[in-house]
Amino acid sequence: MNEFELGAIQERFADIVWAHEPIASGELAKICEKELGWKRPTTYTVLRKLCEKGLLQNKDGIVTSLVLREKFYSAKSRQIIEESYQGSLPAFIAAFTAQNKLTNAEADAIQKMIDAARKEG
Amino acid sequence: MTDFLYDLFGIYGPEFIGPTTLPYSIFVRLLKHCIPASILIVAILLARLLLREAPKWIRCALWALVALRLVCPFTIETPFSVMPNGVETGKAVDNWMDSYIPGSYTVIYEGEPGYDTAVVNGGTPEWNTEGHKYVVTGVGVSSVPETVGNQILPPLFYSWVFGMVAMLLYAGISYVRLKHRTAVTVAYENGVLMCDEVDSPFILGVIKPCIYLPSRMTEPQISRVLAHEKAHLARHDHWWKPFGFLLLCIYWFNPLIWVAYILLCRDIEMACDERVVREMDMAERADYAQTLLDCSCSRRVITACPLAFGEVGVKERVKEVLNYKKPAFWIILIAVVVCVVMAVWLMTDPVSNKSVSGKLGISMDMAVAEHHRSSHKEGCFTALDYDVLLVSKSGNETTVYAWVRYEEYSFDGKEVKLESSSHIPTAITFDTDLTGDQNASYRVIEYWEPRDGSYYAEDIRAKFPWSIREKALDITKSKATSEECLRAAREYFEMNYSGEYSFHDGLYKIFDVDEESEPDLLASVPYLLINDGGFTVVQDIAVSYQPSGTIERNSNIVTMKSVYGSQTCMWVFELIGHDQLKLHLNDSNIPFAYEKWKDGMVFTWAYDLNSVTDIEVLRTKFPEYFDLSTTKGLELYVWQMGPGNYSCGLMPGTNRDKTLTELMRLKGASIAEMKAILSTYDMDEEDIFIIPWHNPVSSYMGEYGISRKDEDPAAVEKRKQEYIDGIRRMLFEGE
Repeated sequence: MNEFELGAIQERFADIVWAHEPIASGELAKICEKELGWKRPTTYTVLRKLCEKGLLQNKDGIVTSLVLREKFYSAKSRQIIEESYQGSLPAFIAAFTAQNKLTNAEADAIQKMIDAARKEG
Repeated sequence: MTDFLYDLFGIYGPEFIGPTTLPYSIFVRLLKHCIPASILIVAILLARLLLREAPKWIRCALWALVALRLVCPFTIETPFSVMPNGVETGKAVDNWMDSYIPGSYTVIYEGEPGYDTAVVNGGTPEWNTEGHKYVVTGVGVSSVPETVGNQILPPLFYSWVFGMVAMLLYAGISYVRLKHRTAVTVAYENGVLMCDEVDSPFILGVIKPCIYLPSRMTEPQISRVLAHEKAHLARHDHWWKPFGFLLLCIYWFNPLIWVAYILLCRDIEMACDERVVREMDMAERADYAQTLLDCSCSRRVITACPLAFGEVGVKERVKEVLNYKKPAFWIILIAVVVCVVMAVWLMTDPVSNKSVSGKLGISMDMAVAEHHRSSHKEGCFTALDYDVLLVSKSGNETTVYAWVRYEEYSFDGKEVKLESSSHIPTAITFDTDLTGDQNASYRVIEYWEPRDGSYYAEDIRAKFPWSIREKALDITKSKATSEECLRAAREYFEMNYSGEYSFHDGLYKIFDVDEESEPDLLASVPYLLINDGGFTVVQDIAVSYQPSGTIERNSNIVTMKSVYGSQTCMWVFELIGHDQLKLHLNDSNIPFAYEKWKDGMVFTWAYDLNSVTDIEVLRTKFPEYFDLSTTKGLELYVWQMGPGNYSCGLMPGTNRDKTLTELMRLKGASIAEMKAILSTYDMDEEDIFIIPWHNPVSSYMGEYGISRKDEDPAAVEKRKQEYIDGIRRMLFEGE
């Protein structure tokens, strides 16, 4: 498990921990409610996930980080973020784009179309 | 509540057998909806070729028509409909349900052994094209034949339920999992949430919809994506898509519905893009297209996956966005016109014929009159009124579904009286192929009436198409009125026997004859029979010539004319009151054999003709009731055609029960007539068994027969006995 693979929201949560650590989990929940609008169970869920990833730890109700903030962000910039395929959406959901992925060739062709249009317009 | 649902969905089922429960009915109803919906879908697919230039929302509107057709059980009738006949009633489906499974049935014609048993066990007689009556039964005569309806329908029904449940389960589980995935979110703005676990933006929720965005998304992508998603919200796609999916779950067995839904999804996306891009210039549109591209790009090379359900490829969408041109007004106009035309052509049903006229009308009258012939009271005027619900033509057969009101009126010189009345929902099928006599009326293939009692509603539901079923079940909805019949009867009697100087049909006798002074008088001038505008002088049997002819009335002078060879004879009478005729010999011209006729002789009305009790007249009328074997007594069957209207039949006593066929052959004699007939038998009253019987031809049940709920069977028996005693009193006691 790559501890450096976090979603943007999880990063925000991690930032809160780094800014206030060491912090009691109850306190952390209060801050998250104010800044992120989360209820308690949500906060604890995310906390648990990041503990599983090895980024944070929750000992006796006190939350601390296991990886330094600077280390985390420098490692992240070196990482090629893999996009994980989260699973297709159900058929009755109105979505933005098709779930299929394009080949490079297809993507290029479309890009050309757009560029050509820009020139004309 | 179930009654309402039955009426709404239309219970199906052949009269004889078949599953008629509500779930089956619903399923069959869905099958019937499929046909017009499928026709509509095919038409729309063709129309889309014409509408390529038109705005995309038009396509969505067309799919809305399909949804409406699938959901709404009612349709409007217009003369413009191009729906094939029979589709709206689902006749094809009904016929399929009623069709027999080969090898599982036998056909028994009237007269063949087993026919009566089959009829008694509930089989319904039908007529074939040659006019022969038959009944269809299972392989054993008393068992039930197998139809598609009761053999194939149940497994189909369960497969349908299974498929539907599977799809709903899929939907439910997907929804729950999605909800779970989006548990952790942060609000971006009102109604927009960012989420880590979301790959591509979408909307979730029907009542309080929320837009979900991938958390890694940044401006300027976000505002473009939001423009698209908000367009979805404005168009209420977050209702349409799930609703369409629900219809898909229900009609999953129809492949055209899948086609429709897939295209609907695509059209929705395109319509949204259009809405977003409508007011944008080229630069903005290029930006939007760029967002489309970026959002669907992966930074890794992955082989292209096939488009999932209802998805439009990015290339196509980019193309549409870049090439979008605001459509000219007239294109929109044409598109709307096409939609309206399609709606009228294919959403409405053909107008059903509501009147019978010309030959069909005459054939109806004759069929109804003929049907009631055996119970027709002589001397009565027959009045008919119809409320025609539907005239359905199919090849050489025309079926008229109507409320038929059949009434008989008598006239006693003063008042028109209702003698009998029936008001029944009827279906008469005619053979309209007139290769023979052009002047003849149509031959009746089937004269259908519902059975009585508990079968009544069931039979009607099975026979009548759903569009008129409600009207056929509710007698208060019938427009065939008694007033109309009464009016016709009054008119008739007015014309023939009007006003002050009217007299009625029947038998006129000379009373107060002194037998001693004029012993031969009775022999030479017994009585006059007046009936339907004609007269007969009825002599003793010994005289061979019985003059008869026409009656004319001129205020209070009644002239009876008869032509005998080259001679025209005339009896001229003066009308006294309403029931006496006084002979004016000087004005008459009577043949020589009648020198006994004297001026001033008064004939008085004695009986209605149908209650003529002269034995000899009765012998010709009811020969089958005379000289029966009485060793085991006599069975006297009594039935009623209406209140106070009793009919009697006589059969020799036997140890066995009489069959339905035998009973239905009985000709109805009035109480007075039967009284006279019984007087020819020298036997004890106790040996004549009175048996009340409910004749299927009659819709009226004698007072004894209707047992109230929870009534003591002894009480029912007591009422029946009282009824029998009443009949007995009428027959055997003094006048």
